[in-house]
Amino acid sequence: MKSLQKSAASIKEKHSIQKAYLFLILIGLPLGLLILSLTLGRYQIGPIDVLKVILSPIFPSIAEGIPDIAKQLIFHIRLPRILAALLIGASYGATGTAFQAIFKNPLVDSNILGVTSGAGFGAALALLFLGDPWLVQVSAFVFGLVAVFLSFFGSRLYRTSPLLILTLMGILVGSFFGSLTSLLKYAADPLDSLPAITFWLLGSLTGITWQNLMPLIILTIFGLIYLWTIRWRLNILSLGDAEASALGVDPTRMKLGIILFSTLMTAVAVSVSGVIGWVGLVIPHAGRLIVGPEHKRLLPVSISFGAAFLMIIDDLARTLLPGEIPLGVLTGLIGVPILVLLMRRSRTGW
Amino acid sequence: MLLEASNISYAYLPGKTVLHDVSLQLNAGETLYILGKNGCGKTTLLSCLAGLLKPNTGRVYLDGTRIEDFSAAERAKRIGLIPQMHTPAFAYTVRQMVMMGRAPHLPWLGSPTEKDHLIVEEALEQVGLIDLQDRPYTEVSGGEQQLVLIARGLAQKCPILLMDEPTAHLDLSNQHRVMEIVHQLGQQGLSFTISSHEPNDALAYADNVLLLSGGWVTEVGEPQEVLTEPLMSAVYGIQTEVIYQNENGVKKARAVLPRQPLAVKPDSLHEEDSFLNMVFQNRKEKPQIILVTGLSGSGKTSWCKQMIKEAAASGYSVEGILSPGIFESGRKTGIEVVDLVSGERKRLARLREEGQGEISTPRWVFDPDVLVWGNQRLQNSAESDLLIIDELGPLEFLRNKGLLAGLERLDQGQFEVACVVVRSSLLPKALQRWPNAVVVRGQI
Amino acid sequence: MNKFKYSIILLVIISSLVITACATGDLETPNMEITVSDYEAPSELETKEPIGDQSRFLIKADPELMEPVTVLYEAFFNGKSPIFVQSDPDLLVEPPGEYENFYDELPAVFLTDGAMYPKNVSEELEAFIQFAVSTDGQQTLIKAGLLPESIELTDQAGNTVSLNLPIRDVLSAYGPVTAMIYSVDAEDRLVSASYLGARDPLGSSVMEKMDSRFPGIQGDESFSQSEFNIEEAAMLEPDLIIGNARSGWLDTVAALDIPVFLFDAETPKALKEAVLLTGQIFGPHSTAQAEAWVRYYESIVGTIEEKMAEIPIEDRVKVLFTGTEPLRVASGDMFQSYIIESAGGISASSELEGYWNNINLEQVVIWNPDVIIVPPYGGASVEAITESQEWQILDAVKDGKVYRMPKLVAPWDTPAPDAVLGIIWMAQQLYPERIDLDCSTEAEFFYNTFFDYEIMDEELAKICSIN
Repeated sequence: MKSLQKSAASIKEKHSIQKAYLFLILIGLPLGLLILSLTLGRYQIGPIDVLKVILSPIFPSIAEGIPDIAKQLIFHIRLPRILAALLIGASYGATGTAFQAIFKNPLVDSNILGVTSGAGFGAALALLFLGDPWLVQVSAFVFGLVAVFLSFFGSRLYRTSPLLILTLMGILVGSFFGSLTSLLKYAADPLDSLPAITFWLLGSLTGITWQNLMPLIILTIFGLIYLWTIRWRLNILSLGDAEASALGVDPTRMKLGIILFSTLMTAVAVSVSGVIGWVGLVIPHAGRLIVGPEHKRLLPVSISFGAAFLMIIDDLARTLLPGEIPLGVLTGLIGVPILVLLMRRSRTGW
Repeated sequence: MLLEASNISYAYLPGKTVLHDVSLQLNAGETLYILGKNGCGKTTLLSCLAGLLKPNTGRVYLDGTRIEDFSAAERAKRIGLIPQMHTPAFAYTVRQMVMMGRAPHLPWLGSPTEKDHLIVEEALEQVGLIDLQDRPYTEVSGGEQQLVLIARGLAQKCPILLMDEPTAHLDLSNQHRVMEIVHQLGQQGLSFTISSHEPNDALAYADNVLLLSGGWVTEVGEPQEVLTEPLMSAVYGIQTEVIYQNENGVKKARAVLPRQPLAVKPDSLHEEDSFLNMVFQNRKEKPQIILVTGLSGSGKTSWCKQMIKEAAASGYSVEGILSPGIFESGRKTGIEVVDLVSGERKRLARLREEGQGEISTPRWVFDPDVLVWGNQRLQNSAESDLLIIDELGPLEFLRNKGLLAGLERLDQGQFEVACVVVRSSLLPKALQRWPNAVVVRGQI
Repeated sequence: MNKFKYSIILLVIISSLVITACATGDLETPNMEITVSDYEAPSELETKEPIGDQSRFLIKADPELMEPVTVLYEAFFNGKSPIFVQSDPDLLVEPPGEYENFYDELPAVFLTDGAMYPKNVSEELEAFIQFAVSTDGQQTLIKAGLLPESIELTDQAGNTVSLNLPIRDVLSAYGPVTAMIYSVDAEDRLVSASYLGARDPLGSSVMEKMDSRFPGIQGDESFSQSEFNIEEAAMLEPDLIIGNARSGWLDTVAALDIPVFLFDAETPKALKEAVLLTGQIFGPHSTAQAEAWVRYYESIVGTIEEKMAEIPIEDRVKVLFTGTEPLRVASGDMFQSYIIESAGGISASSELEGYWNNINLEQVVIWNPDVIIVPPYGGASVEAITESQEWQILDAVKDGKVYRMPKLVAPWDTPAPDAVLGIIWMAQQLYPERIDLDCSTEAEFFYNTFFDYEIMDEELAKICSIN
């Protein structure tokens, strides 16, 4: 028993050092990128000036002599947009990790239940008939939830192998809404609403304002807190319903909670940014390569990496060319090679 | 009494009951084995006992309280389920797998603490896996995986562990390693309920054994009383043989083995003290059914023909019927019935593709009139030394049609020596009906 | 035996499929017959009853033009001969003169070198002039060998198209060219057309007043840049199909064996060429109308250019042309950029390529335009920009210089004849002190001259109000 305590103590010591490093990286990475991203943009503002502007709400005198337009740009254009990238990346990283756990499948993300297709349809519908950006966001959010609702309760009609049926229903509902979106695109005017729908479906953070950022901030933070608190139990859910139940965890109720929170997070993210794929799929893999599959450690890593990844992608999207590059295109172009590399590296299992 | 099930039944779908009226009891420190064929309801029973499935009727009591009155976490603190080995989707380390056993002891939103780490290490130490704790679970051997799951059950700190086929897919040494650890944990006061396909393990480690057959309890009791040849034969549907050992003057069962069909040649009838010779010698006092078995085309009818010849040669009277195949250009196109007394032949069946009829199998269509005739032959024939019935098949055993007179005569004991042709797949049915029958291979 | 059976079954299946296809398609045989007879009727020339000597008008004609006038006169008045005089005529026929002032009324040009100038207007005379420039008049002159039976034109896709004249029935699947057809006074030849800007309330109400056949011949559902209903086209049996050179359906139309004339007018030069080609398709009268439009366009652009010559490039107004959403802007390749340049402005987004580009606000801040223009379609609105908190950092928004491009039917920023008004309007917005062109005056003249439409004061007020 003594030797046990000793070994536990040494492990504890080793862990706490590792933990401290990891913690620093996980907090420092997105925070550093946030500040770095604020200095990037088509409009040239020096890094020192950016820092001064950031600090100006606390020390008003520091930013004297910097043109108003720079302050405006930083607070009203760059900051909301970068925050959106951070939150959406974190959200996709976390929900992707959670979904991979509850589906016992490392190749799914929170889109598996059709939330993106539903939101895409909602957005296309609003772009075609309403046009107001705020209504587009609301409609995307609502239809994202509708799609998941249909998948989830559609799968309840069957008694056998609910996980497989749930996946299948998700794919079916996703295809169904995909077809509806195609129908709308077919009906849309090729001169105005069609390009708008197409660009929305490719994903972009270009139109972010503080106003449409608010629901994203609120829902994402609530969702992240929920997933953070239950993260250790994701391990148990990933063993399957029967085992989880035998280990004293109610899998049905817990999965319902995870699906509910993840769907709210994903739907609000999609409604703000359009369709940005691959983040929820790639990030958990990258995390597993570094800290292993154990979700207590994996979830924080996924949140941090997701936030960092999307901030980098968005920096590229808004600075490379005068025109915007769709985010969904960049995440695919960068995310897929990364995923392939990771799959090579982690041949031994997830 | 820690765990008690009283008269539980369970059906996954209405009308398809897989557990019928099962009752059992488990006391502290006891190991209960559940034996039975594949699909007899063992895993379902364990799931009911673990509270994962709610029986349609009957109750499961844990510490005297109905199991469904516990919350999932409270239940998991009292009873643990060690599932059949499987590969999880993610390569958790051994330590992380074991840590999951702490789930019921943690608050709803909590994560493991220092205390939990100590308990996990203790559990790993107990099963001897402390050195493998940081290896991925998916990369350790099958036996070690099973031990990890046991350690997880230990970390769960519950007095009862249910194990579903713990030694399945393990080699002999790993089976031994796992079962010895289970045994020692039992000595320390843990209670186990183990579903298994290893009657020999039950003889070695069980305090009690429950035999499950088709969802019904066949027998419960101490292994030495329950693991007997007739019961095991009935449960597994094969003839079994129990090997005994003399231990300090007490005859104790050590192993249960399947009994293989005898290889008997009809001409051994003439040999002194041979099996056939003995059977015919004792036929008056002890009538004997001989089940002639084998795959289709293995020569069962030929065996019977030779038996008839040999019996006749020794002066025994023979009656009954034979049903040889009708062959046209090398292909079996029909079945005949031959009355052994009169030598009369009638065509009993033709290929199904040539027509349809009321009484048919996927391959053959039977002539009802010939069946009536065959039954009359079997009913009316006089008593004789040897009764041949070739053959009793799916029509008779499964559909209650065909040569039912044959079944009746055998059931009523109206024979002295009976040679009955039964195909291998129907052997369990035949043995269930006539447990004292002897099985021989129908090969010459 | 089996083979025979199968071929019978196959035959039955195929024939039932053919029958179903025929029954569901628009290509029904009875309909076709009706269409043919409807179509043949107008080819019999409409002639007038002979008129009394008192009411006959006197004609003074150039010697070379006497023959064509006689041919037309005899055809119109059922064989009666015209009366030619040397002085005091009711109708003067001579080669069309040089134009000094655009605002003069255009003469009726019935031959390339022949125009009619009425001196004493009477009912008969007006009807005769109408006839002279109509399709029937054109056909009369062709029969007499005075106009060519066919011409060869090279369209804007570079194909040589041979046309049998006159073109009586034309199907336009390209909105801007439909507007051009109206502006060269050939709208009576349209059998079905795709319209530009005729779907909103203003556009459709004006179109209904401009053309009594309007909602009937609107074919946007069947024919547009992206769609082409081939069965419907076959039923209409046009003499000519007009399309956009970049439409996806061009290959399918070849099956109809009807001449196809393609337009591609995304620059001012191509626009002028397109209008002239449209005129040439429909004959001397339309050609004269087209030439008049080109002269008008060039004079407007010339006037502005002259005025702008004094202003150095760096002092010119920088204009950003946004799309259906504020953060989608016109590229340098688009017609909107040419309009800005023609009006003396600088296109802020001229470095972009292709079609509408999605950009971010930071890029707009870098361009820092003086004026922002939103288009009059696709739900774009000035308020989407002026009421947005984020856009307030831009000088143009702070100064209230966000305007909506006007339209009557065709939006003024599209490569349609109306684009000339877009240039005038924009020049007036950009340099109100310097440019003395007046949107209202020019719009009134433009629609009167090229669309034969008297624009109403409230319509003028709506489209030309200075923001």
